[in-house]
Amino acid sequence: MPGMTSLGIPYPLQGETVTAQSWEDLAVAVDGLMTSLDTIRDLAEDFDTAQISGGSVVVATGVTATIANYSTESWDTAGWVDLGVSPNQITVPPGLYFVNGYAFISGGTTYTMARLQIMVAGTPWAVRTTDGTGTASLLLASVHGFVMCTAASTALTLSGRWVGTGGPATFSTARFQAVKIRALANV
Amino acid sequence: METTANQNLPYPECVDPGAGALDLQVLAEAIDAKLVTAFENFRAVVNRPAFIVGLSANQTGFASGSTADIVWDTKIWDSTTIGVGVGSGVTFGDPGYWMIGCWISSVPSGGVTANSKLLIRLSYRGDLYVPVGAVHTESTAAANFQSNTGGEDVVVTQLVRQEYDGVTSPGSGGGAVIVNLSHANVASTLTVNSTSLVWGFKVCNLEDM
Repeated sequence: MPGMTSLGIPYPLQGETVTAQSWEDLAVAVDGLMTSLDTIRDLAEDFDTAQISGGSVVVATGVTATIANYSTESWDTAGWVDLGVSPNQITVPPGLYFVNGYAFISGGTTYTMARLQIMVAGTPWAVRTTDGTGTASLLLASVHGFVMCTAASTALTLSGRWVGTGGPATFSTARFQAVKIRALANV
Repeated sequence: METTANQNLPYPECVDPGAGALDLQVLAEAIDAKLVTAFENFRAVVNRPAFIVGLSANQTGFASGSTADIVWDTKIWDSTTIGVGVGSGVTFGDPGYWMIGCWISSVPSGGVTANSKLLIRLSYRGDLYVPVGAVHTESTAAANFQSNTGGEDVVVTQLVRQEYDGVTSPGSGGGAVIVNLSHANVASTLTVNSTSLVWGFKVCNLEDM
């Protein structure tokens, strides 16, 4: 029975004969551990992230928040985006994510406020009210937040509403982006 | 016994007949120690410390003209040791550079003073070791103006340097995230909704690993 280190690297005990098999067993064990280390290093170095942009949605004043649509996949390192199937969301696995959304609102006459919401499976996890000057013909709004996703597949969406005069207004979405900060369980 | 130039892995000298099994054991244990350290370092990055904390219920009675802390009391998720419910802030350890932030949803309890100022201040407070009792505070704030549209929602974020590894109550050592609110809505008090959140995650160590 060979000896073994804490990580399972085998070695012959004193009195045993060192053979080619002894060297092979050690080399194979180290090879496996180095491969596992590569996997963890990749997780440490490469963040999963996606951004979708473009598109627009028309929203009447004062209505319940409307979910924005997108036309362009700017980047997607983890297969979270399929605009052909779901043109209004980033779909992510369980984890903690930093999410950022940004939009132009135009088409109204005056703006009292605009509100953007980051939604996790339909529930707001970050909301920001942008106050208008009351006379602007174009309003810029943004929101960001740190969100938790627990389901195997969770929809991240950006929704908005506004209050003012004129309209309906168009939310032209400049971008909606997410980056995974960590998994829920330790690696 | 010779060692390699960079990682100090042991091997028999060329004129040494070698001790056979013992040489191999010494090499295996040296490799093992190197790998244990490497795994620990990468896991510390991948399993990034983080927390999300909320409110168990709406907090009422924020009066105009004064500043009051929001009292966080409900852990939603945490991977590190944090403190809630002792003082108003969220205390956390693990030295490093941290991104902290909050979403504060508030609404007037009654009348609305149109265009009155609402200020949300997000602060990191660290108690210095030297001089004892000194407090270092870094704050970022965001202002909104009250409109009669169902309340105001504010997000604030900042990057802070956390030098402490102890988790204690604010004012008695360690580091804490504190959010306070002030406003000029004289027509009524403000209520902070229970949907509000405060959060943080470690970006990196104070020094390279």
